Amino acid sequence: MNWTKDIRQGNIIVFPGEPVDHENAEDFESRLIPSVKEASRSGGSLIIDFHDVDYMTSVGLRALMMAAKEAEPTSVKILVTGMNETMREIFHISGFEKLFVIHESLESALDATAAT
Amino acid sequence: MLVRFWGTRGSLPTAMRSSEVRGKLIGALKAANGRHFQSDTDIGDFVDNELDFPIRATYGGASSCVELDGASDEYLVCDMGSGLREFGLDAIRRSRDGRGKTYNFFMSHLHWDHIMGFPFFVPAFDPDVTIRIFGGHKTIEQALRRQQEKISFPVPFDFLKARFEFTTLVPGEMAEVAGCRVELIRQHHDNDSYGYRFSCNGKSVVYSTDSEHKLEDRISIQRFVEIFRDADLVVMDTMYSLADAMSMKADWGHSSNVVAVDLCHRAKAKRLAMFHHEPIFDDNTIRKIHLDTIRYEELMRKESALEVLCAYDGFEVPL
Repeated sequence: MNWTKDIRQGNIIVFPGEPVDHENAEDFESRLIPSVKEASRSGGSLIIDFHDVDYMTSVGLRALMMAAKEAEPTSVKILVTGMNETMREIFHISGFEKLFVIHESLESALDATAAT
Repeated sequence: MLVRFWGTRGSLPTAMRSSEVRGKLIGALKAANGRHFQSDTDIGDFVDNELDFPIRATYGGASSCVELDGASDEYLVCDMGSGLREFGLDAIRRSRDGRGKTYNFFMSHLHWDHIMGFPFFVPAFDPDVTIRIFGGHKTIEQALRRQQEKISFPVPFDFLKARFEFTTLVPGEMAEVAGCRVELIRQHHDNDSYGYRFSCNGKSVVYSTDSEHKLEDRISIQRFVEIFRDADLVVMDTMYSLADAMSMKADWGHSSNVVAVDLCHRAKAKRLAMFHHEPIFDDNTIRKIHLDTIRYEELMRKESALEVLCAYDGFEVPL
């Protein structure tokens, strides 16, 4: 899948570049989990910017859950941002909005990591 | 064909409390807003057409029992939850009106909420009745006899007068029962459960409850997509939210509304009936989850629409 990465202020920022469904969920997860480990090594947070993700099915949400479980025993915090209205509704309906900290903008997410 | 839901609650039969009835009355009177009705018919029209489901009705609290009616003279029923009692009484009435007395049951599994209606299934006391019980478990007869042992129930199994036949089915093999072609699939649940696809008179119904879907197991998911393929109706366990099903309630053996829609979309099924409702949910909560699920289906739809229904005790789906 399309995937870019940035590092700012010690935080790993990833930009999945397309919707996530059963066609590419394995690929999504295979990129996401190492990103948690990378954030752990750098002592920062992982920010997932969903700006280019129009939607995500249950298999994509599962990959996010796996990332959260990977982060749990570490100090890595996972923040999500750049969500369109559809992604926000998917997070609400699936209950995932209770599991992840959602930020309005990448700047807001970065500010949050700086504050902690 | 008609699919009739006699019990739709998961895990434990659930009675509505007085406070919930009171809330419905308050909601109805508020909606009436002082209106004067000319007749009972007018009141009925108001209730049926102007009140939202959680105010005018209830999803009910009987545990799993679903009838497929119309494929033949014989009865065909999935599971023996507490909804079976009412089905049995209705079937006695229908048999009095000339229908045959052969019952075919398909068991998802043998957990208590799926067999507890059997001791109250009155046709089992009729010597002219034949009861055939099908399932993937080899221990069905043992489970039914055990729950009627003296320590749990006053009437032993051997007191029943009906003629019994138990048949163990094997996944991958087809069975022909009561005018339907039946295929089963093993499901992820404690001590296994089984889902069924019934193909009858050109229509297909899938009954898949108490089934957790491990989304990382692509082979298993594809098997479910195939058994759901082009189904006219999929009855599926949607007990938890996806987040709960994957976190605190992982390995509890149940599924979510989101996975149900995704599987039905991939399989191009026509209708989904949400089923096996969480016993702690009141009618307002179940209605909200139903509306959320309709919205999720709209958001994720790529081709033809999947109609999202929410089963309740007494619900009928004509196919």
